[in-house]
Amino acid sequence: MQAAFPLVFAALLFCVGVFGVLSRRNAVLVLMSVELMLAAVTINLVTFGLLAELLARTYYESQNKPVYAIREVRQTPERVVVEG
Amino acid sequence: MTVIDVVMLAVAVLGGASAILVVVSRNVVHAALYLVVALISVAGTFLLLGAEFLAWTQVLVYVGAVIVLILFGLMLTRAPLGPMPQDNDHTRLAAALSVALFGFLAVLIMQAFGDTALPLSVTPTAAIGEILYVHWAFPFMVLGFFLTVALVGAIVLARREEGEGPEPLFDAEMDSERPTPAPTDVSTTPGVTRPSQEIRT
Repeated sequence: MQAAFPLVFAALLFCVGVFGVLSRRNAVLVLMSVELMLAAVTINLVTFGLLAELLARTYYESQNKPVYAIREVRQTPERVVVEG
Repeated sequence: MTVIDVVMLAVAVLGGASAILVVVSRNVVHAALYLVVALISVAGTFLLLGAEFLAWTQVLVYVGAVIVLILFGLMLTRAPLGPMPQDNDHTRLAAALSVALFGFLAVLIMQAFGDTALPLSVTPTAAIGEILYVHWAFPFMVLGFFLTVALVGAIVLARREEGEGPEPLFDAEMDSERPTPAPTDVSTTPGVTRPSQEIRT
């Protein structure tokens, strides 16, 4: 799925909420519009969290770093230099 | 377009339509029921993005609690419930502003993220539980304590307006004429009468 799908959906919800907050007279309806805006913000948080995961993966892999953690490093035995 | 794109498009169309119906509906209860559909479609978006814990939390908290709270608030107060005009004078200005904002945001999003594919993977709820209760256990408990404090503060604020303890009936009727809420021990002490009581007798 492209990132634009949930982002445009969240933008639609947010703008509908802005319209409701600006144009409604009843306080309960203003509260519902604020709920719509909060839902849009939550969708944005989840989507940008996924994008941040993509960025983090790209960062780690581009630095030639392994994605795992090193638990133990074992020393190799001393190399014997053969003189000839 | 893959299957998940088609499902996401359907969920977005359903949620957007019901959100628009929330803000143009002339009946408050209908608006609340359309808000249920909009929030369920938001939960469907979370499911499609792989955040299943967030999706079920959205269903439980928003659809299960907030909507029920709004409906109870409408039923228990004396709010008028029939269909009536709910808009104020500058509806056209608000519509123009929100359409312009949506156009701006949509162009911006399509230019920035138009061809960015999301790395979709299901986040298991067990991993969230481990992170929340093991790594972030202390901030989580602090948050719970703050919520308890907010709850107690809300109860204290709500009770202070009505006065502490039961008052006589005529005091409740004269509440709007008093400039400041009087202490409750006035009615128990004989010989002290307020001007409102003198007028009434």
